[in-house]
Amino acid sequence: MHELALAEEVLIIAEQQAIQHSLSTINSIKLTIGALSCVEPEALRWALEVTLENTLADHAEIQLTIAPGKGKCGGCGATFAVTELPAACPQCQNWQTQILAGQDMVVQQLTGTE
Amino acid sequence: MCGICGCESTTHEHTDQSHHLHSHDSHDHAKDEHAAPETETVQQELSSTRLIDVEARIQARNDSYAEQIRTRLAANQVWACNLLSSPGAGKTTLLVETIKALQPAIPLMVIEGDQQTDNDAQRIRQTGTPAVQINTGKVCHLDAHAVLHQLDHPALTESAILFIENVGNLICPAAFDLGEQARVCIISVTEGDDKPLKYPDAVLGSDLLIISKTDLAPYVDFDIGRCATNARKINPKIDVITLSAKTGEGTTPWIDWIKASRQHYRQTSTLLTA
Ligand SMILES: Nc1nc2c(ncn2[C@@H]2O[C@H](COP(=O)(O)OP(=O)(O)O)[C@@H](O)[C@H]2O)c(=O)[nH]1
Ligand SMILES: [Mg+2]
Ligand SMILES: [Zn+2]
Ligand SMILES: [Zn+2]
Repeated sequence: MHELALAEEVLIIAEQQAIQHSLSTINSIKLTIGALSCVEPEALRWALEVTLENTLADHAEIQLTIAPGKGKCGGCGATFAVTELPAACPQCQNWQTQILAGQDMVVQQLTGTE
Repeated sequence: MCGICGCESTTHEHTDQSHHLHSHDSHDHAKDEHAAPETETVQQELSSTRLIDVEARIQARNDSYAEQIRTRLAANQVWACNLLSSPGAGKTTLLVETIKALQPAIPLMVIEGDQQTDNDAQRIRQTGTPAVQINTGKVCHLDAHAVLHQLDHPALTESAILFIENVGNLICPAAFDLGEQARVCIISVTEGDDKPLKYPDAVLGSDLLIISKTDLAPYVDFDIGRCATNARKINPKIDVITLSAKTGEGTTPWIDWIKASRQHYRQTSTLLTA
């Protein structure tokens, strides 16, 4: 359940932002989770619910977007969408896929009240 | 305040679980940080909602600790190797055999990660190699902050190899960079040759896959070739070594792999610092 540790990081980021921008309450948090990051979105939602309880972000609305994964074929050079691993090249069917995107986990935006 | 990571900040190690990771007695900064914010302010009515663009990577804090580890390792020419596997795949057994093969020519150090007990650190110390145990409590992985705190216990030996045995778990440790130079994933033949497909993240992030306990291969339906092929579908660059820590079969290529990887690191890091 590393999602709990990641939720903890989200809280730390939210708290830092709250200090920086003099917010007393966080109302919503917008996250982008890469389709190829090692996170189970539902597990992260649950972990956030537990972690944010009794903090300044208690009951904050969690907006979770899955960022698409992208791969590049080491054989023919084609780039293509990757939803899960392993992923074969749709052009030449080989398995020399290099992952270009879809592993990041980012806190994009939040809204809060002063 | 924490002299190692400077972690006196208001936002650090909140939960009891993560507090577990802090072994320093003087380092009890988890308790009052989480005082509930003043909720009932008179200004609530007048207050305005604001939208903040944050754009912060969730793992930024772990990665900055990992970067500090890398700097410390490079300054001491220490090559670090992070071992990932399911519980019982044979990490500690292999480490003990590896240590016997490498010492005393190369100074060695070990960090053991387990949820509970220091059994594995004790097994390592019986070889004469220093080992520290990190107990993660309910947490199912090592993170860079916990490892950074152990880099001085004992102090890093110049030109050593640091082995980090992660908590037995093929999912969570994959998400945490520990500042290591090499990541090794171990799958034993009793686990099924489709394991790389079931746990792709550990394979994707590793430099080497070790297929272990090959002495048991005759007794189980495990196709070593298929396991290697599955791993390469996920990570085309991954090296694969098959071995048995029990019989010693195949351990020479593993020792050679360590030496070559360490040699490469020492050459490139010397070039960088020169
Ligand atoms: N047959 C056989 N058993 C092994 C081998 N390596 C480890 N084991 C056994 O597997 C069990 C778990 O090993 P351990 O090193 O503690 O695994 P860890 O949890 O990954 O550190 C122990 O009973 C070991 O004796 C091997 O190469 N062959
Ligand atoms: Mg062990
Ligand atoms: Zn192709
Ligand atoms: Zn600290």
